[in-house]
Amino acid sequence: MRGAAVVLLALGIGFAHAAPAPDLAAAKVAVAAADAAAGRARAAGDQWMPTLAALKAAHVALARGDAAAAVTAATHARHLALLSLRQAAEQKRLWRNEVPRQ
Amino acid sequence: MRRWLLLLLALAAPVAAAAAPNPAADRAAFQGWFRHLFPQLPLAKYVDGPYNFSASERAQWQQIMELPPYGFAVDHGKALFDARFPDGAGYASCFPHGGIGIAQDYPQFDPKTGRVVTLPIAINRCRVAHGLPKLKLTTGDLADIDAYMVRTSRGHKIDVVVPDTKPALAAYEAGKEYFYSRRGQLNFSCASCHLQYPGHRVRGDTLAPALGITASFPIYRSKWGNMGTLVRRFIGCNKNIRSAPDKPDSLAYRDLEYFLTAMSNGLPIAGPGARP
Ligand code: HEC
Repeated sequence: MRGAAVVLLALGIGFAHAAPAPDLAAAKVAVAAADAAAGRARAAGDQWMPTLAALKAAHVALARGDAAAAVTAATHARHLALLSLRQAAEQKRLWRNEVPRQ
Repeated sequence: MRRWLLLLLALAAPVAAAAAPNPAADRAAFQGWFRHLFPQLPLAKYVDGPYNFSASERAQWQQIMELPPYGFAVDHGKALFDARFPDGAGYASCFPHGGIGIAQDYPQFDPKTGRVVTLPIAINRCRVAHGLPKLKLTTGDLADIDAYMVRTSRGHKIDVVVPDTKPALAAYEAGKEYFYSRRGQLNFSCASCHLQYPGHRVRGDTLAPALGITASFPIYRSKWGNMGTLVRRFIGCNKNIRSAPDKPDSLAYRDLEYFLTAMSNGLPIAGPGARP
């Protein structure tokens, strides 16, 4: 399911390059993928504020029918969420390095 | 061959033991770190936080403390604390010693719910037990009641207990992991600032050392223009590193407060406090 969303998102970006305006269906898929990634970041306990800001911008753009802006903001939000997920995964191990030892 | 195995086991055992949560050992290492950083600074002084490192801020603070800006909050908190609930009970009925001089014993681990209970959360629990709605955990009336209860505990030595049970140790360990984990777009942990760079200046503020950092809460902060609980400060510090803050009553913040306060066991309660 997620794989399909990613493929659709990739196609959506492809369209964005081919034609100046991606359609609303592609934008919806992009926003849904960003929502899902942000949801995973929240569950991992490491949500970044800029992720939420970009996500909000994506939803606002989608609501006013601006598919291009929605895809841009959603892609940004999704990238930030994936970065925070990587940070959270790495910290599961690395946090111990910051603990003072006697 | 068998002997090799035994040797390996013997080597592995201490490693496994070190990995098990050990709040007392953690506290010794934590306090030892600060002693190493500031050999001249007596432990009890850490509760003055940033004022240990800036003569001008300290002078300003001492002037302000001639008429403490939290005075009104303490008076208001006392009035709220003493008022009867509609059912005739009061806050005093919910706490040991009638709620006076007990702030040093919080946060506590509640084995019934399996959760950490901070003093502000205990105040809200008392309200709910008597049919009243919860108050906001960050500022306002609850911070004032907190301020009054903390004021009656001033000088008492912080004494957070982490029972030697699996759930309590898990909560403690979760708070510890939170404190040391880098998060947010700026990739900082609480420790990156308050453990590694205490006394350094960040954007016009002097970084408080993590040791004793909870002792002065709640605080009146000039920048806020009113009182704020410890959780309010957690939220602010999370936002500063572009990390979406957790909910004030979240497990994450409860556990964080549990760990952080437990590291300051033995230091005196100094709250309520005043900060720039
Ligand atoms: C980028 C550096 C930075 C990080 C990371 C950071 N803080 Fe802070 N913190 C500050 C600054 C600056 C202040 C205000 C000056 C001061 O009192 O230290 C402050 C103040 C505080 C105070 C109040 C200290 C006092 O005496 O008034 C507490 C408590 C606190 N931080 C806890 C935390 C916790 C818990 C975390 C992790 C969630 C955290 N901070 C992360 C910079 C940071």
